[in-house]
Amino acid sequence: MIELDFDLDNISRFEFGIHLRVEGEPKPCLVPTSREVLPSFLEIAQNTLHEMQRNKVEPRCYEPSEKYASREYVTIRLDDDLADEMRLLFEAVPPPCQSTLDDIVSADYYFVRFYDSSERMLLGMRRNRSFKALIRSSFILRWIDDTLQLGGDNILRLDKNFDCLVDSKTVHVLHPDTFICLTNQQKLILDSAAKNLDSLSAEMPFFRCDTLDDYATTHPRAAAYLAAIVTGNRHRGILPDNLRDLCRDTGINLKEEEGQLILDKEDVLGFLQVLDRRRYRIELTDSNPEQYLAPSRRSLSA
Amino acid sequence: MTQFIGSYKFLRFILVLSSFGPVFLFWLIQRNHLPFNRLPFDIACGLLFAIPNLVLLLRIKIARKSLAYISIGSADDRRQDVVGYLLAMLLPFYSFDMSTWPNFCAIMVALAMIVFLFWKLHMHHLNVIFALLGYRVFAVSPVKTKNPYSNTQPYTILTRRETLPVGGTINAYLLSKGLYLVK
Repeated sequence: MIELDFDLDNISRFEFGIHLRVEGEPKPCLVPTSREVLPSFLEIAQNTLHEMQRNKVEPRCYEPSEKYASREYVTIRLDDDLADEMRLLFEAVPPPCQSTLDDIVSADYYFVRFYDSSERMLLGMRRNRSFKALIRSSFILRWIDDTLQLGGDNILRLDKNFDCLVDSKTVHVLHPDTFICLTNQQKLILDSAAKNLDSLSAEMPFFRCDTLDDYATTHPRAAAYLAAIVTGNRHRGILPDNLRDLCRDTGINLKEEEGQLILDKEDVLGFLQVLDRRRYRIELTDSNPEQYLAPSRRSLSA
Repeated sequence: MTQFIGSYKFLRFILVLSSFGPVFLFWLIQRNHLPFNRLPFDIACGLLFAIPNLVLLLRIKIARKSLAYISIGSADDRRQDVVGYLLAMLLPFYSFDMSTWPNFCAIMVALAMIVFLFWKLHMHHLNVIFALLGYRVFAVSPVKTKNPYSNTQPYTILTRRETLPVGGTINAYLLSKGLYLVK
């Protein structure tokens, strides 16, 4: 059962808005919307919650390096750096209100801010998808023209679910792929790569991070692994000997120089996969040991 | 054209015409001499008084369908702007002599320029009719925050209240971009 810090049965008001890019700058705008639309938005929120609870499984915490299904319920704390976009929109004193009837179809995403009777907020966000629509002629012309025509330029399509719901503590994500787009995650994790490397270097003084430095700050996948490792504290308490053994067992070359472990450039991604607990070796049979890479893994001890 | 009519620019233009309604009413009542038959002029004055105000009433009715929730960082009562507008803009038009063609054309050009300036400079909130109905004009700045998504643009509120909750938020109806009506 999802615990939302919000009372969906007592909604007092709502705000609907869209997110545009004006000269490259992000700009969320509220759009005047009739109160008659509230039941439709509420239905979308309820559908979203229903989908999240469908599998009756506790949600995993979102990690940037993990592979998720296109529809999978995961959560991330609202104060996490990756949830910056959601937090800014959640905490914004009402964004500027302006009618953007012409801009609606070019919006990056649309959002709804629900308020309950205690003035708590629930934010629903959905990436805008372009679509083609066939519509009938206007009322008068319909008398003589029964053909369908291409339309949809002035229509914003509302979907069945939100991509994510945000309450005061947590971002509840239903579509992890879209979450990546909404948060501009690639840029965020590349920007935080240097900071994450510093943290790694401090926790693993026996390892020389030079090779990682150049690679992880320019390659999104490596930066994602690094972000997941640091956020999940998987770089703490690592024993040099155990690290050396696991790298050897999974095909990663680690050399020792002046008391520190150093890495080849070709093995950077593999090394990060080791730290992120994704590379492993299994010896079940008498034949050669098997090595695997897990794009998605879940801890059995959790 | 249809984009203009459906836009806030058109609403702003209507509001400016509405604020000049007393001028058209003055001319309708005044019966000054004109260099041509009065009837078309009277009809034009009547329409220019009635239509913008009817559109404004319709706009207020439609705006009530959607409630905005706006923050009040600071609020400055601008009643004196309405009085200044009345004395400096509206009353002089009352006393102009339009009995000759040069005078009549000069006044029409002056009126058109002032209407255009008011429209361009977003001075559509100066409306004597609102003032007569007891509405005050507040120039409002939103609450300042570090959040880049928060509103930073100032706006104008028309309300019958004597004060606004500075530091708080208030329900309002959006009349036009940057202009709200508060009960």
